[in-house]
Amino acid sequence: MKKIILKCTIFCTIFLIILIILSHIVVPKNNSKEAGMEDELANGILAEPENTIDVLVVGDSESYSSYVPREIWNEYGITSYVCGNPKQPLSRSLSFIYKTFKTQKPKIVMLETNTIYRRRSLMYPLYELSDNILPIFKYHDRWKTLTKNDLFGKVDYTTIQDSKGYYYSDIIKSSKPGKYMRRSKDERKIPKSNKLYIKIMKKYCEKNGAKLVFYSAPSSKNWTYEKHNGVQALADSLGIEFIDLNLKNNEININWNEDSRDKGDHLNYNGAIKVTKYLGKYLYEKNILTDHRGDPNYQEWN
Amino acid sequence: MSYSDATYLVLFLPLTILIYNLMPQKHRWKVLLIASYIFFWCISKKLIIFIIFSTFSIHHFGLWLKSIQEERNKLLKEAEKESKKAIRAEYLKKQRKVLLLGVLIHLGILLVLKYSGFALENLNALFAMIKIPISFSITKYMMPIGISFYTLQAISYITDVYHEKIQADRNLGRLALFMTFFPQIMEGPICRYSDTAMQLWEGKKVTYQNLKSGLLRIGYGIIKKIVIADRLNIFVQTIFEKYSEFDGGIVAIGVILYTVQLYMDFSGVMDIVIGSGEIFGIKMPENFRQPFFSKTISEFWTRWHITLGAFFRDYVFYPLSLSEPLKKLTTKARKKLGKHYGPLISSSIALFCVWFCNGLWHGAAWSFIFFGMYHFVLILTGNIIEPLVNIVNEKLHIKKENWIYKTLQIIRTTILVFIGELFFEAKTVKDGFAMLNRIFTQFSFNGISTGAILDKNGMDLKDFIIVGIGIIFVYIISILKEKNVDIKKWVFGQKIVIRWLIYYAIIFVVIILGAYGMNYIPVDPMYAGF
Repeated sequence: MKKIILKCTIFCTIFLIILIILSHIVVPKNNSKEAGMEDELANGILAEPENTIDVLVVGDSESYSSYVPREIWNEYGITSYVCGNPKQPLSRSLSFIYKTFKTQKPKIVMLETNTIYRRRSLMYPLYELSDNILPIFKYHDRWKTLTKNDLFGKVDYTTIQDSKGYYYSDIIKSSKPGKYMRRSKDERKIPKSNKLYIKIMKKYCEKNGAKLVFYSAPSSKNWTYEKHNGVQALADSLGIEFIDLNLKNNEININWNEDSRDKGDHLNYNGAIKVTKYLGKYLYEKNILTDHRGDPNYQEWN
Repeated sequence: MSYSDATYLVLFLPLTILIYNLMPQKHRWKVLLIASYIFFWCISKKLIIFIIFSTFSIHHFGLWLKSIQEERNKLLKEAEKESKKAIRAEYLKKQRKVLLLGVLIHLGILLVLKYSGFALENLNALFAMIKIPISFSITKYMMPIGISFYTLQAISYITDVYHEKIQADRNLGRLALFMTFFPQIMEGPICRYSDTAMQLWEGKKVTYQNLKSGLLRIGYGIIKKIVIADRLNIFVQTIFEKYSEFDGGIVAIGVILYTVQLYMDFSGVMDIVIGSGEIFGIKMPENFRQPFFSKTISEFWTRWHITLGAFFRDYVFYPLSLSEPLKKLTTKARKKLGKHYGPLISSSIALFCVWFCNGLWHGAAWSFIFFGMYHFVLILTGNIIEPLVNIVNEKLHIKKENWIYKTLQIIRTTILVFIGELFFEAKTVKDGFAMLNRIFTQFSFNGISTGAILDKNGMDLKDFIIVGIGIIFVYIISILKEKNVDIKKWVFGQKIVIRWLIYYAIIFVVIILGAYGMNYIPVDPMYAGF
């Protein structure tokens, strides 16, 4: 038995060493698409100069379709970045928060709430962990495009994304909202594991001097009053501010005939600007964020 | 959760093995049963109620049959010699009614859940065609995954008790485990009670040898499924969906690669399933035996999805062939048509039923019925022309053992299989014929020379190379198996360095070359949908 355990230990150790070596080889050496980086828009945060981002936005496609960092810069001189990617689960949102706080000190973290209802398999947190520690699992397909630099080069993130994580689209596909946001007293249940993620997220933000805020981007296809009630209850229980833009249409004036790129699922540029104007005003009125427009260190934003 | 999922391979299976081994032997079956229900719950949620109902039902029907048999035996013991026949006949009638009821309940559930929509759709179309103003509303039912597999297991159990091949089991737990054992519940193999029930109950300890052997088989299965089959998915789907945009040659490649995908997917999952069983010391029946070495279509179906073929052989073909009306027909026909063609008539009737059921079992659509009928016609034609072929071979001095003759037979059978699979995957029979027409009338490979085939299909040249190497690898393993080489024995007989190199090679081929992650869409096991 002892012999078997010893053999298994040696086998696993060699296995782990090979995994680490392979991970080092396949991990993208830059944060550009050409270098093989996944979600290059969101990962543009890696190349932002240290301590220059004041607001971090995370979430699924609703986040990068509704928040335009450049617009807020132009209006108020506040720097923000959207680390959103398609179908982003909360484990990935958390992962982006951890990644960002390594080089940035955002004062506000905004979570787009559509992701709170995303269910993921039991293994997802493990995937996330393996993605960060052993990127071979995420970037295994890079064997197709490996270069000499991948074998011997060092990681150096230099690709700055001009849109700061926003995904531009001027396509117009109108929608008929129908029963969208019809009042209800029912609450859509939030998965327990997701509640736990939110608690961890809040605690981490607070520990690092940031405030976690929920916001829900208008989406006639995805959002319902039941979801609103569920998130509102969670926000109330944890003392998190929640801005549901689906209920503020009299202030932001989303026109579903022209402000969506895919029949009410996501906003297009027109719709995103309307939402961003509202959120920009909200951030400005917090009075905790600095106007950097005159600061030469922020030249790149101009 | 599916068998090639990390959730199954890294979490569910290891945890079950660990808990199973920590338990005392008499409780191990309980671990397997609980794990099986958890697995079924994960894939079917509240539809688990159907398999629980089936289990209770076969338990009840088995005991019912048993009580009739015991009563009969008691009477037979006490009866005079001349009245024994009458007693047997009377009790056979009773048993038959119980069997019929049991089978009908299971088939009924399957028919309602799986086929009622298809039947009503066709009835509505028929009424509309003959202008009868009746239209049924069609309800789409949720179906528990694996229903087509466990229903056949349930039917085989009741039938085997009826035939007294096995004793009805009083132990509900053992029966429940036989029905739900987690590795087999999604895609089979369709096990008989005599195959697995007692092994499952035994609770053998997981040994190092079994663990190694099972894991090696699982590794081979994952390579087939994740490296080859899943990589082909987007390409194959694009060809079948947009065949009119491609040249005939490319459509033909799509059809061939679909067959490769189906084989690698299904047989790969079977390797994972059988390997999982092996870890617990359970020997499940094989479902594949190098099918692409078949010389005839009949032989192909004794090598492909073996347990389904065996089910139809034992529970449809034989009972029909040996039924009184067909026996009489054979006797009459033999006198008029001779030794070959005489029995062929009744066996062809039974064969028709087998292939109709086989086609329909795969799904509620005309394309599946066509798939079944296609194989029926091929096998029937083979049976009809067999004497003629023998005469021609004799006249031309062709020996059946000649390797060129055998190779040509294998090529012919493989081409016929490709055509069958074309109709199997095509959206409709009409689409199937349109694709076939394109292959024969517009055969060219222009898409390859212009590179269009690579742009449109989510597969680049390197992917095709990986698939090619994968096919060669599986082909070599198949040749070795065909020659009865025990590959596992060979691997385990190597020095530790070579052995570990093989293990690492399998693991890293899956990790590096697997079609998973951000550039691929996860593909559910293809047979789980049937």
